[in-house]
Amino acid sequence: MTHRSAISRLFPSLRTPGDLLRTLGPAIVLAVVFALVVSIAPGILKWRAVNALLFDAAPLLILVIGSTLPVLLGCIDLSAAAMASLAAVVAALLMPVLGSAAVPAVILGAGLIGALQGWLIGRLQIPSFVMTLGTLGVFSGLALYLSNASTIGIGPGLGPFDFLGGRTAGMPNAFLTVLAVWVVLALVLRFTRAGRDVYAFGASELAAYMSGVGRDTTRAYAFAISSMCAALGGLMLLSQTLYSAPTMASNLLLPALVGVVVGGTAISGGVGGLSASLIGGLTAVMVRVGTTIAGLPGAAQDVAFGVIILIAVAVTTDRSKIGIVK
Amino acid sequence: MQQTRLLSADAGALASPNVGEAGAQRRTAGAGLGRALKSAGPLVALAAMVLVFSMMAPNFLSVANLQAILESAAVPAIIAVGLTFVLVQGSIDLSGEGVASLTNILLAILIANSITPYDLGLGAVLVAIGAGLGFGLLNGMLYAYLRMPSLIVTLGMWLITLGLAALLFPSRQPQILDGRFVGLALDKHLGISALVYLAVAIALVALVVERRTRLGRIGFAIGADEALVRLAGINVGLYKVAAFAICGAMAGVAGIFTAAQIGVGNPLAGEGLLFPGIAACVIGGTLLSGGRGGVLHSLVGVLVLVTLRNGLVQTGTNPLLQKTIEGVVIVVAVAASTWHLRRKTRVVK
Repeated sequence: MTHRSAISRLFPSLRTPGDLLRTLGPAIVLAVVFALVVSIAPGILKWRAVNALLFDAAPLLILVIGSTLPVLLGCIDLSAAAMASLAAVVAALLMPVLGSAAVPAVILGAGLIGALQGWLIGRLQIPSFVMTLGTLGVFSGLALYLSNASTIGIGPGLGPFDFLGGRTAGMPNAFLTVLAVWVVLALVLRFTRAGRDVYAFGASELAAYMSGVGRDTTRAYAFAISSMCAALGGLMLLSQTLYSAPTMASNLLLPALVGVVVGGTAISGGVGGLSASLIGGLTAVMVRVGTTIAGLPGAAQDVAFGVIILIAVAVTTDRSKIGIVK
Repeated sequence: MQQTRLLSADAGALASPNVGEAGAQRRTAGAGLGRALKSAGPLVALAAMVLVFSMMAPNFLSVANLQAILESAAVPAIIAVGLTFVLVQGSIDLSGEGVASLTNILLAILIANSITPYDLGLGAVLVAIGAGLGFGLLNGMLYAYLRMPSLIVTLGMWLITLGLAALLFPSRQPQILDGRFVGLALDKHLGISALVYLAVAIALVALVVERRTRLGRIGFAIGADEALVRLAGINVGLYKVAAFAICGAMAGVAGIFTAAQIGVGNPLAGEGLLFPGIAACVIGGTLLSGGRGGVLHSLVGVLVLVTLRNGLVQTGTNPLLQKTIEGVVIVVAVAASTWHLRRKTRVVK
């Protein structure tokens, strides 16, 4: 009894054991999946294996982190994976002209397009699902058109790509970049007005609007960050393979959404955050690795993903807070 | 002076919306034509598209091409009809692609084929539809009774069914040998295959269900104001499960149709059905927030999308740009068809 009250004094949102389970649920799911993978293949604990795993997982993790912001608003960004492919194609095309400057140019351009997308959702008053469904088509079509539906190679020796493909103190730089983006965005969400606006918007858009939160600006920020993270993910993929393909990231759309959702960020908005997404993203990565190591066919991976989504969300949904579920 | 005129105009508008200066402007601008345009918007867009394409490509209006448009509309129409029942309730079903792939494989390995010894004939079709219905029911029950968002439940089910389809797939592609079944797509009556007639029949039944049964009417009510429907003592969960069951069964039928069209079992047969299906519904004027739209709207949306694809090919547009143009059309069409719903305080997620 005293034990529980001490916990609830420290964390006011944890009042009942159920709350505790819901809060820790995603971490428990990750731990269980991790334990399963380790029991199948103990070799994965070797530093080299972990290293390779994190290097491989970085593009997915950055997409998961980026996709979290629109979801926190109660929106959804279906275009992130297509944006990643488009960014890789454009970067590979710009490389001969701009050199290393192509990287900031592409990320900035992605941010502008994302901001426009978020702003248009509010101005045209169409659901984000429809807007990003449209831009999913626009981006993937453009990636095909610009690359003429073929792969484009980039030469080695370009600073940003050598960096993303390299290591610092034994850790892959791509993963360190993910961590840096995570820390910066988490601080912004926690300590700046724009960050608090995101949560207010997600909890109740109308109440936030009445209290002076700029809806169009907030949405523009969130979608800009989502697009920039997606572009960064595309560049990471480019640094791994040193060539760009117009559909290279399209199979990341579902795993990225799975990561956000499994982490415990509510699709209705206002609940969750970037740490949750990092946990969810790592779960998605572990499932992918685990099924591959266990020698299961790739199809079993999809089934495992689906079952884990259903279990994780069934456990972590706080049903006392939501009246009507759509 | 200017200020008082504005104020009186506002007061007049407030007291009685159709009286006074402001009201007069509203009368001339609003009324009959506007309302007709609002509901007929997608139809007008379709007509305009047909007009433009027929001027750009002389072959566009040929009988053979119109038949081709109908043939390619059959499967998307089935998917869109099923989705409509879920969308008008304000929910969403993403599992269609997976379910269609699964029923496609199920049918291909249970009907007379080149790999497995089974030959269930009509039984295979029934098993496939039953599987679609079963996954729809499961979706609906997880959503309605475990109270998880439909987007997440059906996202999970999309992956599960897609995986199951691949696991059921034998090492080699099963060729469907049942002549009568493949004939559904191959034998033409008046130049059109039986699949198109079946799709039209299914759409008509769906229309009757939507307009003339409690299931259809209460579906719209749930989308418009679910809390109110609950307060009226109606078992909302039951109607939600029913809508998802219909949607799942329709996805199953779509998988069967694709099996007849391609003549083999393919674990990715459903690929590319989902997003165009949802796009067709919203282009036709079915709102994702629920309560508006319907089967006829969605069918117009399907025709818009299929006609656009066909027209782009006929006019020789770069096929690599096809997705981009479709994306722009989706956004513009939805923005235009919901423009009249704009409010400052409207919440769009």
